[in-house]
Amino acid sequence: MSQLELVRVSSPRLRNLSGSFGPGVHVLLGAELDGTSEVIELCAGVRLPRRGSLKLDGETPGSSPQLRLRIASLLADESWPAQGDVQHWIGQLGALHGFDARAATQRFCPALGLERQLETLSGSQRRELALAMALAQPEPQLVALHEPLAAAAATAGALVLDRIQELAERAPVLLATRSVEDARRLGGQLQVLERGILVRESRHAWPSAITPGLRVELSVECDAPRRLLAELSASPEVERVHFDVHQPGRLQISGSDLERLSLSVCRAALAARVELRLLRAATPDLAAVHGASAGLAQAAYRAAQSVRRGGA
Amino acid sequence: MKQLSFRHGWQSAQSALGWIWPGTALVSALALVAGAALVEAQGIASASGARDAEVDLVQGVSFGLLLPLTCFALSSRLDSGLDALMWAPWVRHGAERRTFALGRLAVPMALSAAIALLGGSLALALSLAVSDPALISPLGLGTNGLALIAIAALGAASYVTCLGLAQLLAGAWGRALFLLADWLLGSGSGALALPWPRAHLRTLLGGQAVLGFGALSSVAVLTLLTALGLLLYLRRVPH
Repeated sequence: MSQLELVRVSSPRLRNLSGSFGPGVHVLLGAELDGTSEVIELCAGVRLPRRGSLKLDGETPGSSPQLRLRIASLLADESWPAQGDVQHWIGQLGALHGFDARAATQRFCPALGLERQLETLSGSQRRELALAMALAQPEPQLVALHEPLAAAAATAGALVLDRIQELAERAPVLLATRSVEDARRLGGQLQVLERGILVRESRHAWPSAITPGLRVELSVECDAPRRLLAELSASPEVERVHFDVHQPGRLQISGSDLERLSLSVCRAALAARVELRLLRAATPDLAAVHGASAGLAQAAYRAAQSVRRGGA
Repeated sequence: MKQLSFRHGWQSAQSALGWIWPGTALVSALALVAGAALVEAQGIASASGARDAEVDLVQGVSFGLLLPLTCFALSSRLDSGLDALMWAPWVRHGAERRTFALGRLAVPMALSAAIALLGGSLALALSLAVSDPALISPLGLGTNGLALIAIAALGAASYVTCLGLAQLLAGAWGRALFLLADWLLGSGSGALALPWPRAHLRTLLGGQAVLGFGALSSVAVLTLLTALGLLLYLRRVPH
């Protein structure tokens, strides 16, 4: 079983990053400016840490070609210079790695023709191709992917998720994303990376864990929103309701607990005999996640101060 | 894997250069030599004048100007710095980085050696054409040809290696400083000229010797310079 160890890793955007990642899915939530792309680059071996060490089973990917052969990666920027067509490219990579990636390319990039010239591929198509190559590796020692769901073809999202889960059974799968919704879909252990520091871990990417203390919001679409609104007005779980006359079938309902709020909406819909067409938790954005982190840090600081005062 | 890594390095340099750039460089080099030969031809009046013209064309234009400038231009065009080697896609996918770097250096070496050789041959041919037929170079044509090939290869290897190392140590400024120092210090024949390829190439082409040593010593120093430069360059590149 492979183990990825980061010990006080510093790079232009990372500050003393430490962590240990065993087999399973590990999601890093953060923007590129927070250093997510650099973590993936370090893992892929295209960057060396300025200070500290990043080791996969005791070896540094940046200085071990044998190790790099067994690392599947998708970088934030896949605009490498290359010539020839897609088939030639994947043939050459296959020769290096020792596997045939044609089937995987057709599976994960169904719309991408193998005879297409690499120079004619757009940035997103190159990322799609790089993702297919990464997922095609039969037995990687480490999988490090930057925004895999954004890179996946529209029709291949579910396939990518399945393959990630499959790879995670045997190797650490480190995924970086700035989308809370993608983090929720990817599952696994979630860590929030802010300005180069791992600020906190979270059990999952649902609002209760990712933005604790902040109001959660539900989007509801139904056939009779006014009737539902009347029924919901009596519910103690509902703190705020937003109804736009220009979007008559839609309601935005806020409360403090997602599960209880959802149950209240369902109960109110049953009582008012309203047909729900959509009930979806609004996803907090990265700014809300960062805000929650700042709030948690401030609360911890105040708690520590009050303990110290109490002790004195 | 090493063979594959070298091949990928060679191919990556080839694809970065394309065909237009080397073609233009070769045509410009030959045009420069021809232009210089025309200028020199106007001043030939005696046997020593013809000999001077030959020296100016081969030593000054082909190996003193063309070779270092071609190596400099190729080096900046190819970017032999650490970033380029770290981010190379083949290296990311398992190619051995040092062997890849060697393959990437081999292309500018071969190309600049070829350009210097063609420029030097043209310079020799033109100097023979514009001078009195009786004034043949003392070495003879065949010997001159073989010597030119060896000098071009050694000169190109030493320049490309030293420029690559300068790039790795101090970026684009390092490369420019190396070229400047080679021009300024390599023009002399004292101890300061010892580590610069220009001084030894001049010795090999029949010019003033460095510290009074002969051509064989210059061959040894150039070989040593290239080997040491390559060793230091490769040691700075992580596997």
